[in-house]
Amino acid sequence: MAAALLLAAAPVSAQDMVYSDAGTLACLAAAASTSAKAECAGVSALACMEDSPGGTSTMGNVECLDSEVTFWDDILAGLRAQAMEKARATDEAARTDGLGQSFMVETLTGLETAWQGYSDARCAFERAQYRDGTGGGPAELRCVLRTMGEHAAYLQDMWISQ
Amino acid sequence: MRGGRIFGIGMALLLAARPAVAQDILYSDDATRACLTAAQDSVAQEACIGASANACMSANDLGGTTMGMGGCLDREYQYWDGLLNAYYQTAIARAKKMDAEVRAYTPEAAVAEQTLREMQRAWIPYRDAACDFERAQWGGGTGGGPAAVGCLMRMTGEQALSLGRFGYGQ
Repeated sequence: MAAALLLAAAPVSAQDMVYSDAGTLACLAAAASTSAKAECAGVSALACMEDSPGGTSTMGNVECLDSEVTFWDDILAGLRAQAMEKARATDEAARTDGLGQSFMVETLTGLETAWQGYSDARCAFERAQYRDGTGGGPAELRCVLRTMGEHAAYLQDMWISQ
Repeated sequence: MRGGRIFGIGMALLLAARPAVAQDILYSDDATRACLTAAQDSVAQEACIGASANACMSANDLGGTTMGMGGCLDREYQYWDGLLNAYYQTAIARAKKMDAEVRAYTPEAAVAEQTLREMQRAWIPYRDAACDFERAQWGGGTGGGPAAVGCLMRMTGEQALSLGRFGYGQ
C-alpha cells in the first residue's frame, strides 16, 4: 500500500518510458480513409501507457502523450512544407499560364494560422472540463494529438495527394 | 458545350443573387436524419454528413451541374447550421452547470462556459479559412462555389456533432 502510494507519487522519469512511434506508423500505413488516418493519433501514446512502469499515472500519461506530440510535430512540419511547396507551384503555374490569379499560398497560410487558434481553444476547453483536476493535463494533450492527427490527414488527403 | 458552360456560370451568378431559386430544387433532410438515427458512434454520425445533399443531387435533373450541386449542398448546410445552433445552446447549458458545481470551492476552475465560447469563436475563422482554401483549389473555376459550400456543410456538421456530444454528456 505504502509502496503503491510512493510509486504513484514518484515522477516517471523519461528513462523509464517505453515509447515507440511504431504503433502510430503501422496504423497510418493501414489507414484507408482520412478519418481512419486521423484516428491513428494516440495509438503510440496508449501503448506507452500500457508498457511503461507508472505509465497509467497522470505523470506517466503526460510523458507518453508528450512523446507522441513530438512525433506529430515532425509529421505536421513535413506535411506543411509539402503543402506549401505545392501551393507555391500552383500559384506560379497559374501566373505562367495566364490562367488568372491563384491564391493557394495565401489561403494555406490563413488556414494554418486559423487552425492553430482553433486547436488551442478547443484543447483549453477540453482541459476546462476536468475542473482543474489532474486529468486536465492528459485530456488537453489527448486533444492536441487528435487535432494534429485530423489536420495532418486533412493536409494529406485534401491537398497534397489531390 | 461552351455555350452550356457560359450559361452555367450565368445561372450560378443568378442563383447567388436570388436564393429563392433554390426552392425549386427537390430536397429533404430525411436521408441525413435517418442516417443519424441509425449511427452507433461518432465516426458513423460524421459519415452521415452529405447524405441528403447526395440524395438531392441524384433526385434532380440539375443535380449533376455546378448550380444544382451548390443548391443541394447549401440546403444540407442549412440543416446542420440549425443543428449547430441548437447543440451550442445545449452545450452552453451543460458548461454553465459544470461551472456552477465547481464555483463554490474552486472558482478559478469554473471556466467551462468561457472556454466553450472561446472555442466556438475560434472555430468560425478556422471554418472560413478552410473553405477559402478549398475554394481556391478550383482557381477561378465554377467548381469553387460547390467546393466552398460542401466545405461549409462538412465543417458545420462536424462541429454540430462535436458540440452535441458534449452538450448531451457523451
